Amino acid sequence: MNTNTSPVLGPVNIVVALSCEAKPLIAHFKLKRTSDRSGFVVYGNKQNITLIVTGIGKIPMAAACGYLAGLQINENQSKSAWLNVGIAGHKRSVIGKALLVHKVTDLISGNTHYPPLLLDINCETTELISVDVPETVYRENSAYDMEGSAFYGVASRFVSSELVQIVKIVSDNLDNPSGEITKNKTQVWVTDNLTTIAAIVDQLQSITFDYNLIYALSSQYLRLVEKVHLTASQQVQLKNLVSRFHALGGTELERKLTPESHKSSRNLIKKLKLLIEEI
Amino acid sequence: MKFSCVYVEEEIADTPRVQEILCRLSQTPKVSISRYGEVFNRRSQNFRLQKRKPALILAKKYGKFVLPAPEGYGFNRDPSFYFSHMLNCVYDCRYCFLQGMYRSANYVLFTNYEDFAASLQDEMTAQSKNTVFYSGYDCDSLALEPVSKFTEFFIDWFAQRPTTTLEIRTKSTQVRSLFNLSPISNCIIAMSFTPSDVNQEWEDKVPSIDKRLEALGKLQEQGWRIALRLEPLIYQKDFEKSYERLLASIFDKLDAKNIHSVSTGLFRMPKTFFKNIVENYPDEALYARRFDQRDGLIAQFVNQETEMTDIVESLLAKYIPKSILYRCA
Repeated sequence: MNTNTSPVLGPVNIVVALSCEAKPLIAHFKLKRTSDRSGFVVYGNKQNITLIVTGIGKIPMAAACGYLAGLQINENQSKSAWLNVGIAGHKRSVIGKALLVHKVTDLISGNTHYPPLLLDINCETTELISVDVPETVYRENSAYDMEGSAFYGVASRFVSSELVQIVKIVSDNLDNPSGEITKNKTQVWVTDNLTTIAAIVDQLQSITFDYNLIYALSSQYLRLVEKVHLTASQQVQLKNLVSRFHALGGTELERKLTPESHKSSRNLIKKLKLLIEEI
Repeated sequence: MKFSCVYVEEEIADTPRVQEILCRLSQTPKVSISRYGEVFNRRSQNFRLQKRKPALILAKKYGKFVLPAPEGYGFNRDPSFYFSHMLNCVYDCRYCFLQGMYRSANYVLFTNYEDFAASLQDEMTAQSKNTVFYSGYDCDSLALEPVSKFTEFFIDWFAQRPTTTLEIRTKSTQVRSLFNLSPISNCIIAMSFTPSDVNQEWEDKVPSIDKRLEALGKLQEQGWRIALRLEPLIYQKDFEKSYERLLASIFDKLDAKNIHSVSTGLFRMPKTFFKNIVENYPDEALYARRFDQRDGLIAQFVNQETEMTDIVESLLAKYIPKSILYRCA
């Protein structure tokens, strides 16, 4: 188990295509701009919420997700949940309604993803079809957007799919064409659904916190790796031994490791095995 | 029974059995899929997270429906086979090999029971001796009964074939459907038990020992043939006392003279499954223990296995004749 003193809330990345989608979220989560580097605008707060504005389309979305994941590489390998929030067309659904996505299909490639529905959220669910040009015919009774499939395909490479979710807000349908969408309307739709979005973020933070507690590398392990040179396979062995030590209820590991243990990788592993047998 | 979502294979979406199941789950989101593998076998899934809120996948089974039971699995030497109308279990037993066998914790329910029946018939016809079929190897046979209606179909099928035997292995108390059926002599309801300390520590969502005994007692009273499966035997401090208490409870509630068979089974699993489970549960004390490795299997040390098996069998000898006791591989 990880014994790091992590924040109580696990990290969540909110990914939006448009600035007008971002604005109400920035205000609600009290996010501050954190990156002045060129490329993508990134916001964050002390509660472990990060937001990135990607631009429209699959390529900017994929690039932004990769960019953000790169920024967040950390030595203890803790993970962030990913949430795509954005507007989408829908054949029949009511304008302004939030829909959690249970299936996302890329229209061109046919690739499909199934975001697991683990959250306790009172929100209708939908299939989402990602297209390259705005959809006006709405052939299927599904939501249509231009980024969802790219978001899911990329984000689920960085973390288990349970921690990758998409919520779409209906912006256009057969009676209300996409040409009528404005920045102001978009902001209002996102604002109207902040309760749902915040509930999703809240639950993702809770799950991610638990996830990192279990799977992130412990600070004890990291300190040991710094002290002794280990090969890649020895690092894996050490990680497993440290986990076993804690799982069996072992305490004060570093105090029990004598200076002799730190003289070589073999000594360290041997001593740790002995300590485990003594538990 | 609540599911996070129901995935339905397009091919079977309109079949009566699937329609009936979907009617009962009208409040659950439904998602259309081509084949169950695209959800169930996908990479980037976490079994442990999914176990918080599993989904149900309604699918059509292809390929081999009936497989030879592992050697030594059965209660006699008749040809033995197993079949799985479901993959995964609604319970969350930390010692269970299914956690390491599948990437997903979602439940797959194969609804083409008629195809299973045809394969059972083929296997039965091909054997010269009586045949035993085991259900409950890759799932708990009864735990999803309100949705699957497994017994309704298969008990009726086996009732018409009295020379062949069905063993339903379970930890479930979902036995109401059996009360509505007439007992048949060629069906055995085999309930698995571990002592209460193991039950409390490692059998999340499994009904209590008392509840299971109550259900089994009622089945026995009604004329169903029942069996006890003491598995897995996990080496614990004071395990002898734990089993003494467990057996006292069991034989206080059940008629020992009217038990089909009792088996013991050891904690064993393929190395790859073990490795997958450790990855999912690095903080689990059970898997942090030292284990032995023999013939590609992870097992407890031989001296522990021998000690436990001998002691549990000697405790059992106080209640049942040796003739109905066997060791399940």
